[in-house]
Amino acid sequence: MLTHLPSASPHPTGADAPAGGSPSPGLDQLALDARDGDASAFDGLYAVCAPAVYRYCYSRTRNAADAEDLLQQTFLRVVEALPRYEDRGVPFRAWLFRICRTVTIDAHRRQRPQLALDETHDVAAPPGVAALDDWLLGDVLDAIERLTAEQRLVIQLRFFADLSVRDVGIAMGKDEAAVRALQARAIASLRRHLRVDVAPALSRAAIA
Amino acid sequence: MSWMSGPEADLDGDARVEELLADASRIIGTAPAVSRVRPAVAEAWARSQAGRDRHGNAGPAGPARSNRARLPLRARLLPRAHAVIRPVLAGGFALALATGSVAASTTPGAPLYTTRLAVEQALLPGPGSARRADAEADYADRRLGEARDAMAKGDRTAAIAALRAFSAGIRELAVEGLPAPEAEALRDRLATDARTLALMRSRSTDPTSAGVLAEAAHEVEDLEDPGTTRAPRDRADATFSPDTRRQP
Repeated sequence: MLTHLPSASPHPTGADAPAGGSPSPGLDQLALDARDGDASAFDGLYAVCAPAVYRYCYSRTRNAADAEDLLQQTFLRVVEALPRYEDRGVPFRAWLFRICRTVTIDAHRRQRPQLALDETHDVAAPPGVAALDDWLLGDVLDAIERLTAEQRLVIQLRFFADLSVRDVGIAMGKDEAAVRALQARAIASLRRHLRVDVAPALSRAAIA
Repeated sequence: MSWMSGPEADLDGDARVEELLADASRIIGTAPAVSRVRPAVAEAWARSQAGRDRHGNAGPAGPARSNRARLPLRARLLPRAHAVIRPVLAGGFALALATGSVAASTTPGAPLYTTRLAVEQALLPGPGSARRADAEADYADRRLGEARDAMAKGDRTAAIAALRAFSAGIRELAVEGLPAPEAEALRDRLATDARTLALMRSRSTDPTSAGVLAEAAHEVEDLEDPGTTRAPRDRADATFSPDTRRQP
């Protein structure tokens, strides 16, 4: 069923690499096939994109249950919107994360009063995360929260949603140069927030 | 906290930040959530296709047969778990009524923290089993997580309370007689705890916290290698309560 799917393995290795490691040339076709009623294509879209959507949602909510709810809401909305999806130069990933971003923002607006009262909101790590990993993740997400809204979004879309610079630009309505500039400023800020340049220091790799 | 890495010293700072971001992203395990959500999405897809078959166009995702897929995930899972958790909830509710507890008052260092710990310990499986050791390790890990969160928030009192509970939990851990695989898994967990404690010590600037951290680290070391003979511990903190110290 999933034999013709692009790789879902994550993380950018170059300036323009998608966070998913390699571009997804088959993904747009898969989306068109799914739009036309191909169940296996839709299954494939979900298999490839759901992990990235979940990671993005987790990076925004810092809560596993909330991220799971947002993952579901995003794909339910994708099911509704897919018949209107057209290949007009907008990659499926960018289209998907526009929806995901809207869902996330809507949920945040609805839940804001509750979240302010929920003291445990920021400590629900995904199940199975070891203490040390949980700590690293917490530090990185703390640092990301200190970025400006646009810088934060670029980092989340690039590194947690696995989008390429181009796709991030489409999802944000910006050109690639603007995305690169935002990313560079965000990385510079993260260097300070994470104290990457301070030495000597313990590190995850050094103590593992 | 600095996340600079020795082996990566040849990379520039930007590259190290990107590696950290990639690491953080990888840490977020996705498989369970993706699997749990898949049925609801598949059901919505099937409904939309059924609507398309009837009308020649793709119909809306729902609600067609039911609005089950649109319910919040926790709302859908709760009925299934209801039969299992009802007795626990009832007991917890009774306990809450009896103690007048609220969540905030059971956080580390709060008046009812020890009550919560006692309840958690009472709910552990019976002694002498691998499940018991695993549950005790989970208990200790939760305490360590509380300590780390408290440190992150700068709440020294809460961090110390949680670390002392962690030390006590580690002291309770019975590793003798465990089957080899479980003992190995437990050693792995203890090694992770030791690394976490080392990181917390490197981050701590408060002598009292450092002392309690050192005590907790010694407890872990004792359990990892009970035959080791060590020099007397460096007690940086003269305010340890007696109940947190290992008795001779």
